[in-house]
Amino acid sequence: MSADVSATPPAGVASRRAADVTTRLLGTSRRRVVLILALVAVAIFFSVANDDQFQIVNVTMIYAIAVLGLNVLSGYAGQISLGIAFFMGIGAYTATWLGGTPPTSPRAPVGLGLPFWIWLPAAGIVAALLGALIGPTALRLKGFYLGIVSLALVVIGVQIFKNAAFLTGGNSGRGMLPPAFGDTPINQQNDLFGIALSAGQQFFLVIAPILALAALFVANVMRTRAGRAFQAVRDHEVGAAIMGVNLFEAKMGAFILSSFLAGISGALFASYNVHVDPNTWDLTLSIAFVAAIIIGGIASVWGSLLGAIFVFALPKVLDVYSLVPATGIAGLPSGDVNTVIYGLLIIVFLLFEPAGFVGLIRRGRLLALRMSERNRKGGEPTPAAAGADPGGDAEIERTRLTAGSDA
Amino acid sequence: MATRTALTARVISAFAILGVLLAGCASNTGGGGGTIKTGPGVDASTKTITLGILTPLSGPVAAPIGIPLTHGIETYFKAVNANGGINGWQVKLVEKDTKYSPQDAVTAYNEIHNQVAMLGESLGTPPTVAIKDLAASDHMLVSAATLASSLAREKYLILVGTPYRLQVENAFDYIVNKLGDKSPKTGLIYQNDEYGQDGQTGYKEAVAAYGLKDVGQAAFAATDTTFTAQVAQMKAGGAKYVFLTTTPVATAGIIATGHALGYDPQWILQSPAFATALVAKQSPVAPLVSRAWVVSQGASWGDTSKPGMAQLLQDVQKYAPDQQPDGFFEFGYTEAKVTQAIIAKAISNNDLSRDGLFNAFESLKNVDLGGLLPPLNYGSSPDERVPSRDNTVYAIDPTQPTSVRDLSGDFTGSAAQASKF
Amino acid sequence: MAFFFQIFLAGIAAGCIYALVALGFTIIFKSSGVINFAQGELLLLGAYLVSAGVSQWHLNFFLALFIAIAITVAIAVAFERFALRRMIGRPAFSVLMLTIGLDTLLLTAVIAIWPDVLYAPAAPYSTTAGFDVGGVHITINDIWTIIVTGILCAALYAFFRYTRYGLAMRAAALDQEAALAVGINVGLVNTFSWAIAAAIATIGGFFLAAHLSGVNPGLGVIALVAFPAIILGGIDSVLGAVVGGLIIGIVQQLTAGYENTALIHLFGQSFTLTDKLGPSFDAIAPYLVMLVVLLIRPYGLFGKRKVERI
Repeated sequence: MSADVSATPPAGVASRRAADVTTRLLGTSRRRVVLILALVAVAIFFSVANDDQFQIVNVTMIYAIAVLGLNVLSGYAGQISLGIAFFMGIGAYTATWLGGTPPTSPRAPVGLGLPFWIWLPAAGIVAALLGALIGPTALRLKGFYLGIVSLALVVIGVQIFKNAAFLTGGNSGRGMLPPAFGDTPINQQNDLFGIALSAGQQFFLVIAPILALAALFVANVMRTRAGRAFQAVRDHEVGAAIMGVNLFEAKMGAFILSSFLAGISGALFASYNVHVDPNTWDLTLSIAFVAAIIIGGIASVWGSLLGAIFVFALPKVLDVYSLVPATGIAGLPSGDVNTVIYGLLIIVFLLFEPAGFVGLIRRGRLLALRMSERNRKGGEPTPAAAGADPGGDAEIERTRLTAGSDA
Repeated sequence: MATRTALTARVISAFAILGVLLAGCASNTGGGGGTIKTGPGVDASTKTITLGILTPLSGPVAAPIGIPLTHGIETYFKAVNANGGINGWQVKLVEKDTKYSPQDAVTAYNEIHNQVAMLGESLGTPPTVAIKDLAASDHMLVSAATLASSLAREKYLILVGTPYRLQVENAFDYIVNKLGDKSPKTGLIYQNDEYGQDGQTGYKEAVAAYGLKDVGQAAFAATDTTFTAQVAQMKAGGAKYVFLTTTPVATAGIIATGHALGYDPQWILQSPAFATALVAKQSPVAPLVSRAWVVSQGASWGDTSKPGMAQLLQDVQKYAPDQQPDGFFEFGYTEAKVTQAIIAKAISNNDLSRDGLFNAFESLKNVDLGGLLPPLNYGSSPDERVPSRDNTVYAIDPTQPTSVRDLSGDFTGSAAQASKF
Repeated sequence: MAFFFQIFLAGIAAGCIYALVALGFTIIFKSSGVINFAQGELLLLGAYLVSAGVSQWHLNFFLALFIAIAITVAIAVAFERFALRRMIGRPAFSVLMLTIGLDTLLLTAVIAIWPDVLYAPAAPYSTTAGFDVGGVHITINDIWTIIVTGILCAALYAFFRYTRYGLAMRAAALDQEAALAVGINVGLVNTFSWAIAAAIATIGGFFLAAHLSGVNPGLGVIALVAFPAIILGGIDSVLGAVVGGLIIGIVQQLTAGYENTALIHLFGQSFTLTDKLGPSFDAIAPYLVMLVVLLIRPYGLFGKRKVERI
């Protein structure tokens, strides 16, 4: 495997590190093949994509980190939250405080100009701490009450962000620095080990490994006792409590992990855009994340990634590679046509595929499995087919639980 | 990165053909020729300069503001290109829809920043503020269709006209010095954002400079469903003049609420607070709004005594015959004239790189806009970047083509003259 | 003191509009357990239709209102029948997302049909008239808003208490399976609740437009402010929605009226709310009130505490 990857140095850095962590997850040869194919695809993309494409992919990856976070809280642990934008904002402002330009005039917002490797983890940690502080109060509430209290968090957060000018720059927002290799910020063309890399490529090299780590981390946590506790709480709170799950600990765990990932995502977001506007962290953003986990697939890492692509990349793809004529349709500007198409897609998807993209893929796989069984004439039951993929049972089980749960 | 999308490549190759044809007839008038320094968005072989346009083309801001303003820019450059271009250089526009959202503006900026020499338009304060740091790191000039004073402090942003802050000061100069109403009771209602804050800064300076008796400065939020609290404060303080740093939607609500509370002060509107929809025939607030004033700048639509307006009307007839009289169209057209001046100067300096365009902008003096706006001056310090400090107070008058009638004539008040940025 | 009463009255009028929006949420939630995020845009569509009916199609106001109600009700009912009905048994989150999808579509449609920045509101009375009572100016708008909201609430109360459909709706809200067992058509009940919510939204939209003297695409955001109202009152309580709406309206207006003038003396300093917390603090005051109430009563003022069974 390492031989395959070494041909593509950039992706190799990420994957070799990741490989150690993944061994337990990669039980089957088929999964290994899929992973290698995916890495090859990434490497090809990395070398041929243009700035437009990097723009879409990089931003989508940043959002995907927060989508994973929301999926931990709402998908795995079943706690409805519209507050993800607030924690992203906290991450973004922690990052700008630690990593922003030191002020040159008395009115400029604070900034310490510290390097990337300090402000990025700090952003996650501060968001997580705040999550730990708010959690005990918020998690007393259930269902929609929690949802709307988290909405209040977002509304109040925007008001704070707009007025805490010493940190946020007030209504006009503030600047932020991109990560830098040595002295050169990565939003400019750089020579790295003798290879000329565009801004888009360098950001990709920073963001992709972080997303990969986040995804692996979430996937692994969900296979531990803590992760199973999250899901037990979602499926039946009282039942979980009777089975010995500490409800408070499980919910808090999910809340803190989710806030941490949101914080990381917000920090990267600020740094990528080199500017943070206080109105960014509003309800619209939170709703987009909810859409992402539902469309991608609740309680699924792959679902989070697919959901992020659908919600954050697809509208841009529609805009850039305009399938709709630039003049619009029936007097409706093309931007609005895209919005309509997008709204309809969401509705159609929700109506016809309850388990999201992941459900669609699982269904496809199940179908393929049945077809291959039918072809293999033997009338015996199919332990062999299921045994080929030990993860399969658990996944089908999970689908059933998700579909039946009333979050 | 030299890679471009297939789409762009196709557009460029189409222009290359066009460029060959045009270069043939334009070569004798062309400036520097082969020695000119170029940068992103400048193709010396076809003599084409590409400008980015970030504007809302969909969503609620598109139809009333984004689309007419962008048509103004398009119309101006269509006329320029048809008349041989800028010293033989053709101008091409790449338009991107921002939906008036800062987030979409950032995405749109990142999509086009390698293809364009400068941004010929970035519409609205929030989207412009969102891209300003990106633009600065690219040394990209941005012509902003907003008059927020904070733009004057940004190196690469271009203001076209008198900032909001000075509009407020000039309005009160008119009341105190022209009408002779010394130390009147005044108030301000503003929306809680960057634009509103700019109005408030101007209002505070005006209170200090003209000895106004301030009865209160009331903010409102976008989610407010009634303006009684804000208007009642003005009424309780007995304000005779109330300035509104608002959008038309709130303007209607505030003026109507005032009347319903039996309170009809002299309302004075910041330029974006007014829209012709406010005085549409069916509107119940039309008779009330018609008693208000609006502070703005520039030639009235149809005033052919100004050569710039005469030219505008000619270009409209030729290239945008369906265009109705529209202040935003005029703004876009005027903005494009400034962009044209920058490019012309950069060509004469033989430097069309980003830094070349920037130097041309900083040394731009006395840009003649044919009376659409008074001649504008730019420079390198924030105070010099405020290109003009004059305004006109207009009475709102639905019988006029753009619904306003000149009241004060063009003037610069003492506070606006002295204001520091 | 006149100032206080002036603001207080405005708070009641605004509270009535919040109450109308909150009622729409509550009625749908009670019958089907769905939070309808499209409520704000149903209101928006209703406001545009009333306005267009009078000023573009030149109809009588009441005919225009009737047509507007008919159209919004038709959309709501179609949505319930053909979309929501398929979502029974699915996670609440997904259902919520579906209503957000409807919200997006409605907003885009409204902007496409009516592209101008604002349209004239229509009303059978003068929206800018008023009269003076002891220094407090009472507007005709406020009076009609309060009267009509009162009548609607009374009618809804009577409906739920005395009519067959109303009783069926309450039964379905209490226990869907039990309701089915005694022969109540739960599907019909859901459809009916959406129809009522859409009709109320249209009336709310008309009053909101009259208050703002203009119909504009931003009217739908009022739903956001109504959220604290429904939580405050208890999400499943009709009375709670009305009381919650009124509290939110009054709190918001009083905050807006005093935040930048009333001096607070604390720790030897004198300052206004705006000095310390920034302008437009009134925009978040409803949310803070809601948080405080939830800390004390996690199920709202009038909501019912659920008994958990295994």
